[in-house]
Amino acid sequence: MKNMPVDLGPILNFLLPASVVSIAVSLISRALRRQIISGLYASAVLASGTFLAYGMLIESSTIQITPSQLPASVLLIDQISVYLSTISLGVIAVAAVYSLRYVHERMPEYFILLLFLGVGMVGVFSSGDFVTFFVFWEVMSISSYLLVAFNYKRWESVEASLKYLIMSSTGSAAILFGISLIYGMVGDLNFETLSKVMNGPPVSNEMWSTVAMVLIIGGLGVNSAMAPFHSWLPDAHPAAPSPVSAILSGVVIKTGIFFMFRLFSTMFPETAYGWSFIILSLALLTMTIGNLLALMQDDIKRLLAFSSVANIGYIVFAIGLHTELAFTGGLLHVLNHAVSKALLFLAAGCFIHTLGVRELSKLSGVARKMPVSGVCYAIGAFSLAGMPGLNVFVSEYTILYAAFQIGYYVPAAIMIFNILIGAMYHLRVIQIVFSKKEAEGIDGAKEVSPIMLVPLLALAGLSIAIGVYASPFLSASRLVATSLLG
Amino acid sequence: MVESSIPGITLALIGIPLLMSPIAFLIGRLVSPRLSALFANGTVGSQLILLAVSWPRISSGGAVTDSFPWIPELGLTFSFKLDQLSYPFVLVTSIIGLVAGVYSLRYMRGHQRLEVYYSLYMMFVSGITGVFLATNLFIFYIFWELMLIPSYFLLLIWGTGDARVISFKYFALTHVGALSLLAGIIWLNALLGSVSYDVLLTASGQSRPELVLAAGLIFIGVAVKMAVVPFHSWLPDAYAEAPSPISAVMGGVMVNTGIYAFARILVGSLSDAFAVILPIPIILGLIAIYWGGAMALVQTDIKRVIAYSSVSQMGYVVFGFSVLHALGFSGAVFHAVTHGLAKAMLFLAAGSIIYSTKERDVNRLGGLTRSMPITSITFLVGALSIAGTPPLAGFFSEWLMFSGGFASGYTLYTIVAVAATALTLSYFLRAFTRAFLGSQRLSVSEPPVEMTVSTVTLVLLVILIGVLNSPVLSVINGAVPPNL
Repeated sequence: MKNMPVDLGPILNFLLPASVVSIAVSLISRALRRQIISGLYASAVLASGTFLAYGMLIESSTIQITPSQLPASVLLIDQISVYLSTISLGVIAVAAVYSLRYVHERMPEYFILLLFLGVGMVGVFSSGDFVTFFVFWEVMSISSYLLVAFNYKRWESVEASLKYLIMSSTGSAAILFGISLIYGMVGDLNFETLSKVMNGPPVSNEMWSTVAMVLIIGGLGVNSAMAPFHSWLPDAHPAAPSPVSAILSGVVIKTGIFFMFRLFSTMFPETAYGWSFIILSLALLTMTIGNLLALMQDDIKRLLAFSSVANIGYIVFAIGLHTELAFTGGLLHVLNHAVSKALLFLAAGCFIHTLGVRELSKLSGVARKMPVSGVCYAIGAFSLAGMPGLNVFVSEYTILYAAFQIGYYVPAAIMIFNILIGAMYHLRVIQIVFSKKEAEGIDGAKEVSPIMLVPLLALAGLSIAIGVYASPFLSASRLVATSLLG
Repeated sequence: MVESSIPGITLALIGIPLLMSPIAFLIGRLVSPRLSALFANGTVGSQLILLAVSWPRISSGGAVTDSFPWIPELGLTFSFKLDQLSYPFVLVTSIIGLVAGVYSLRYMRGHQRLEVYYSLYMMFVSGITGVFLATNLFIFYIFWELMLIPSYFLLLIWGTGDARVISFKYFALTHVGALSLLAGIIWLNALLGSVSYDVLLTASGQSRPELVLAAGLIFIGVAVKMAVVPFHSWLPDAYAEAPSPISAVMGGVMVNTGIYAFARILVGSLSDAFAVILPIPIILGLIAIYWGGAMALVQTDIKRVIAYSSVSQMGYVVFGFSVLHALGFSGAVFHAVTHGLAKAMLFLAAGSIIYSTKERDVNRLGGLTRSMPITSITFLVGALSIAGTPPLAGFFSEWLMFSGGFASGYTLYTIVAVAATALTLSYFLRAFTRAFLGSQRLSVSEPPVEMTVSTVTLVLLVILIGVLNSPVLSVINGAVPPNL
């Protein structure tokens, strides 16, 4: 790859040209009146990207690309980059396969957007300086806005997308302002340089460093729906088509989380900036708000969206504890939540696809008519309810273990209480969908096509696999945590 | 201690019902639900063979273990151990599991989706078995919750009455207890660096405040599962509205997981930390004895009488453990065996009544001794055993618990507990008089032979264990922790 004009690292070197080519593929598939071609192409590209990223995760080497001449991107592809790239591309690939049967109109455009969403996310994970980061960040954000508004004829989608756009661009603006402050102070935007300069006095004593940190973390908080910036998520995620909801809730909100992991462990260390208390408080606030509001929802996708807010709370809680064990748990929770939440949104998508309704009361008894998607939904819901033997339990256990280990008993108790609330609303949905009392219009419901069930079964299988044999996944996330904390 | 030379027994005990449950489902779907029922009973019955194979080793003081590397990051191995403490519990599980499974053949006939019923049933039995065989609290907790999910669905789908509300209450309240237990487990993990039972034993001599609080959290979790007052409100509803064979498994076996946790964790490993919160558990136990008994005295639904009797009986067990004496410990563990068998028997007898008469109100029954002699004997033997009538099995376990109470110096508390046996006898006699004696109001007959075979087996076992209690008691005595 040395003779490429721009070297973006193995994953992006493949993904970016393939995504550009997808535009041509889309045109061809449209001309042939075979929309499915674009979908198959995108699924294949995303699946290959996942395997590429997974291969790099196994190798566990760090790639740093610093170009000799400007302007060009500085890239830093380390453990956490490939870890999150694998998860993200995997979820997008699974959702893409599911979309083959779920999305009916404008498929060619849809899959281009999915691919560029993937490019944006991998770019964010691989970026080595703030400029590269910001460019890819916007690629990702714009794709997400468009995907949320994909059903542009429905008022709900357009409104949700607009709200998302306004809040998310405010966040981006805050990040940009923070970046400019850093540039003003240090005169460089390379993460490596900044990590050495910003992580201690005299720069860390400067008030403007703290301001920059607050602005950047606040902007990331908007992206990851951390309270008090969470209000866009419950509108945006349900309004999108279900596979897009799975991607947005499963992985896109983790890009902000990714950057919190990276920044808090390198250029804004707790020892110099003392953010732990505030981040922990925000985390507890986030999980409590998310869980309490999820308890009151009557729309299955809104409920799942609020549950995402709550789970972001758990991950940020792990960041706030900032020990190696807590980071291990938090990073594993990133994976677990991605798997389980994608599973839930896709399973809920099966119900919605068949029945065309999202109200819980109208879904009563649907799992009896659609047993496979029903059981998959139950697995995902029990997993996020923290049932042991399923994936989420392992990461929640690890996070709580880390909290007890350093004596944070009260926050841990609040998190346990939150897990309890989480179990209640997930159980409520399970009761409704498995209920003996059938809602109107459910008689004719039939199980969805096998192409949509394969992704569900794969995610459910992964969920059980991580729950039963967590060791490889825990050791992978521990490697990442160790590499972050040095 | 002699270690196992026969590999895989403990794995098979849990794994056969668990891994075969999808196969039972497929058999039911593809061939016939009846075959899947027989298959399910076969897998549960295979546990008895495995237990018989391991009996020589257990009776000679050894243990059967299996161990594999699992999650080194959290210091956990995937190991199971069948020792002298877990053996009686697993034995009762398989006996009642098989008996109630056979009973279901006829009792559940005519219900929908029986292949799902039997696969859930197998998972339920497997989850309970796993709780008894775990060697660290992480695996223990996995199975503790694994038994909750199938039992929840069994209650939701085949329960009577307002099954939706009752199953939600059952899940929600026991899950609250489970999270309290989980908090205690994680706290212990952080304090001791590991949650394997071997490491827990090292904490037995300590009573640091953190350990006391963790023990308190675990006590709450265990108390919810055992339905100790004031954590009992889920139990009467769940036991009364579940299908009778499931009530038998819940009331006879599932409740034993709480007893086992008490024996293994609180008394067996954290006794010094647990001793700090005494006499709260003793007082709670006594309140439970009287509260459950008083409530049983005023119920008219025959299954609710039996269900409240469980609340009362678990009070005895809490009492037996909390006096922290070897005799009380043996008695409480033995009570898990005797109460489990008798309670399963009572629920199956109640199930037979409901099956034959379609009626569960004791005031509307009456004179059943003439038309249903076997069922009435079953009910009477179960009731007398639980009320502690010699020479039935329940007498010996209660005798041991009370001896433990006197021996450890809790004289007053023990007298209060002994006095309550009169209450036990009176609520059972009241129910028996109303349902079985008096004038016959309904013309009914005994239920089919599959059901009576099950109940008669249990009757014989309760009498047999009462008369020949020494083999069981010698195993239990070998399990008494050395610190008592």
